[in-house]
Amino acid sequence: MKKTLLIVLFISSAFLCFGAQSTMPPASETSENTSGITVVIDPGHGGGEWGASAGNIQEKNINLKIALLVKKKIEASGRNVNVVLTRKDDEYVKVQDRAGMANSRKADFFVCIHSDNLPQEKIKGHAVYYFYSPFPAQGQGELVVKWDDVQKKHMARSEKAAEAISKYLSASLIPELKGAASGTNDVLPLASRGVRKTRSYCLNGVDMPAVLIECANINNKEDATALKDDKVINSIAYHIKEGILAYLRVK
Amino acid sequence: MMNKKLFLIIIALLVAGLALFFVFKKTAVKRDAKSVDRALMLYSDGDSRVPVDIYFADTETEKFLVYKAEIFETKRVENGIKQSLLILFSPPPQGYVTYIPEGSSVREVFMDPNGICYVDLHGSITANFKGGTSAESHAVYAIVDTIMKNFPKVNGVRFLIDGKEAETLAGHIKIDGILRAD
Repeated sequence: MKKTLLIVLFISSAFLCFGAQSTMPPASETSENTSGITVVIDPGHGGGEWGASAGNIQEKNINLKIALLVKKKIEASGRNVNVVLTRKDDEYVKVQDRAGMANSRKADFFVCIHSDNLPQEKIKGHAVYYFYSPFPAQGQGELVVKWDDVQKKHMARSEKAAEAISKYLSASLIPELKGAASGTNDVLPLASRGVRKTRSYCLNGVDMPAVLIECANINNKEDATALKDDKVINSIAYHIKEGILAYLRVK
Repeated sequence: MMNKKLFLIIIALLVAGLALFFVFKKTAVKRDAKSVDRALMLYSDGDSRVPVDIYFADTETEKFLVYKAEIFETKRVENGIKQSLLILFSPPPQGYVTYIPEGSSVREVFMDPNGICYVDLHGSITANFKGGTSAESHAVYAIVDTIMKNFPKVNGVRFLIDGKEAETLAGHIKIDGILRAD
């Protein structure tokens, strides 16, 4: 009898541990003060620059849809975070002007939203990038830092931010499972391809912690189908919002 | 009776069509391989060959998958690099994929006295690129790795597009400055 009880206890604790890896409370449930913080959301491409494309999916439209929802969700969270979009509709904005918008507002966090198109049709899911350069920043600690090196001084915090967003994009948030926080957030986001570092052109020149999210591989049939579903788009935006708030809380 | 005859004719036409398709498909692959070989010879100093590792990618993961190829032996490093890039820029063999858009080409390759290899790409690579950050990063490092891992005299790679130093390949990855193998 005692043996059976031990086995039952062991199995249930194993289930709890497994569950703990994939579920967590949303960052928006905590009451940290985030007022006075500005986040710039940058929907990649736009206008004549479609970005990646597959079938009738154009990356620029997916990016904008998600970005608009992220802004809406952060504003609705009651956290008094100022959200600025680098573009609000289908227009072309230079990469340098996007960085300029964030720098001139002295924003606290820059989030670039993109979607990938890989030649491997079987690869699916999202990846979160931060800027990386193996060379040390020139002029650090001096009055003038070489412009190309501006993002380098934020590399460590950008990595932390990328990890926070990747973690929230990969997790199932508890209220979603309960259906308590919002009924439309019950669709899990896409698979995770992890946190990566690269010489990102989109994050270059951004003078604050910055990440780039590749939300899915539009060349993968499942991802492409998912991106046509408003519930999935809503879920991705919800998880990105939670990742942003989680980062702002611990930054 | 008439219907049966018609049915048999359709079947025969279908079989003949399929046979022709496979014959032409095979010939096309062979012709490509031959034309790549002819192009390599333009940069050779003789008939002897040396092995090179070409950084294509795996068909199911994002990892590079090295394709063991051969180029013609040459005294000039630039000519060896040109031959290797000709293979990398050609359609990949079965079981491999490439991140480099079809129809892309190298205009010129040259070395400076410090061992920096300048790769001048035709502007069509920018126009034809359909990928995002991941694909562009892999495309850039497929070129850098193919050069640096085969030619130890090369200390770094700098990219030019249509003869000018470019900031980015297709809008996602910074390619200005010196790049080194991953």
